[in-house]
Amino acid sequence: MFDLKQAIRKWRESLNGNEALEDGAKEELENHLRDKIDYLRAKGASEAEAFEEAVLKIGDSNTIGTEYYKATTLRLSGRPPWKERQWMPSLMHNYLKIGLRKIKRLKIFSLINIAGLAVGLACCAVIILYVSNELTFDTFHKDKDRIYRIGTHVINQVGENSSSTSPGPLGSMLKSTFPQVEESTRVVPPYENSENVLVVRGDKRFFENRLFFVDNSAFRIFHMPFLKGGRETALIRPHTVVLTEAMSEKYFDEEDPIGRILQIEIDYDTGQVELQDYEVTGVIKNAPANTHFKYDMLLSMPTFIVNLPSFDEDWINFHGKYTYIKLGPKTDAVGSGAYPAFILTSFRPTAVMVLSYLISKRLPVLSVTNVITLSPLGKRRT
Amino acid sequence: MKEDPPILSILIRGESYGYQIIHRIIQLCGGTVDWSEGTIYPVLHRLEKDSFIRSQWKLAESGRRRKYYSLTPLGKKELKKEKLHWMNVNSILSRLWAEEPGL
Repeated sequence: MFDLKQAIRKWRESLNGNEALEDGAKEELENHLRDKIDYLRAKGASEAEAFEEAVLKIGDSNTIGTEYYKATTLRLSGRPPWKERQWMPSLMHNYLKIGLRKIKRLKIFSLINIAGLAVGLACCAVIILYVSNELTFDTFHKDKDRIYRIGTHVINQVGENSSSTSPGPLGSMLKSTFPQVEESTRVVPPYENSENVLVVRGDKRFFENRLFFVDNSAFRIFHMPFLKGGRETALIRPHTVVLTEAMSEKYFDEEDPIGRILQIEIDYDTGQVELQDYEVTGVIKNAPANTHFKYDMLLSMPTFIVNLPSFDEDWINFHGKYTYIKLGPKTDAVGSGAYPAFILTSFRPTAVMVLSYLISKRLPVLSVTNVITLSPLGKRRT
Repeated sequence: MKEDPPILSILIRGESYGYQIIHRIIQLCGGTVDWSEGTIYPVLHRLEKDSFIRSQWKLAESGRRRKYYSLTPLGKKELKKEKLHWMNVNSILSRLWAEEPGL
């Protein structure tokens, strides 16, 4: 059964939550409601109908409260503190308009300001790109702190020469001599000046220049995740090749390239240049853009040895031949321990060793010394 | 304010209270406007703050307390000003619209 007194009392209580309504105002509203109900009852409505209609007509108490607040507040916006703040300041359009007008009126100064801001932003963007490129350079290699490229510093009668290249047999010699050296690999581009190499499959013929001969141990030094094929056996046999994802797509589309043949033309100075068959034995992820060692295809080192057997013995000519080594984890370093000590105490004698080896072998007169240098990843880009 | 002139005009005939005022206004416009009746009270509140009207609580016959509003001299002046203004607007518009029978 509908209880009018109860309903009015409840309605009155619901006004209490409204901060803007003072007691007098609430009483006024209640009286209004009662008057309205009386009026509707006189017209023949039931109590419940009259109450509902009266409440509906009197309107939302929140809206009324807000109007009360607007009537008394000194705030420019008229927004009561219990109402949600607008996302955009109500004067935003005004600010924009004023801004545009100022630009129109003060053309020279606006030009200077805007041009200055543009230059500043551009500089900032360039600096951020440069710094982030530098900071992440080569960092995708998992053990980048332990990977070094071996360089040589040769002093002889002709003069001094520093280079980032090293003799072919050096890596395996270091590995067998020092327990600290965990792995070594040679990285040799087909041509010293990275000329183009013709790669053919069917009617697809392209020139590529990011090809390298590497030892299979390269996969244990560098971070080159395999997508297809086996890491352990990928570059063991002569005339095998590992492709990056991009190259696989380029020459084989969606097909599985494992076991397929690519023809590659490389001049080994043997007098004849012809296309030779290479079997694809693996697909690895693409090399990131900011690394010093950018590869598209990795050819097996045995291929190179087959064509140039002297490479394994040659301590003299090592132009364009790179060697990378990976040292064991820090705690495993035998003897003096930390890296700097390792390089100082172990590598200088090695240099002398190499030197004496050179002298004993066949070098005419090497007057002073050979020093081996190590360049860690991510610092240099020669 | 568009609500001000009607309210002041009703009050010039003597004091009245909120319900009566809004009831009269709704009657006059023949129910064509769907007003939220409660919003008259903030308007009255503002008019009182501007000293155009003054209010007084009185005991009605029904035993309820009612707030009666009446016009102040300042309110009368304001109403005269409003009247002049609206008469002007009226005459301008009626002449303009007389030339546009199709409107």
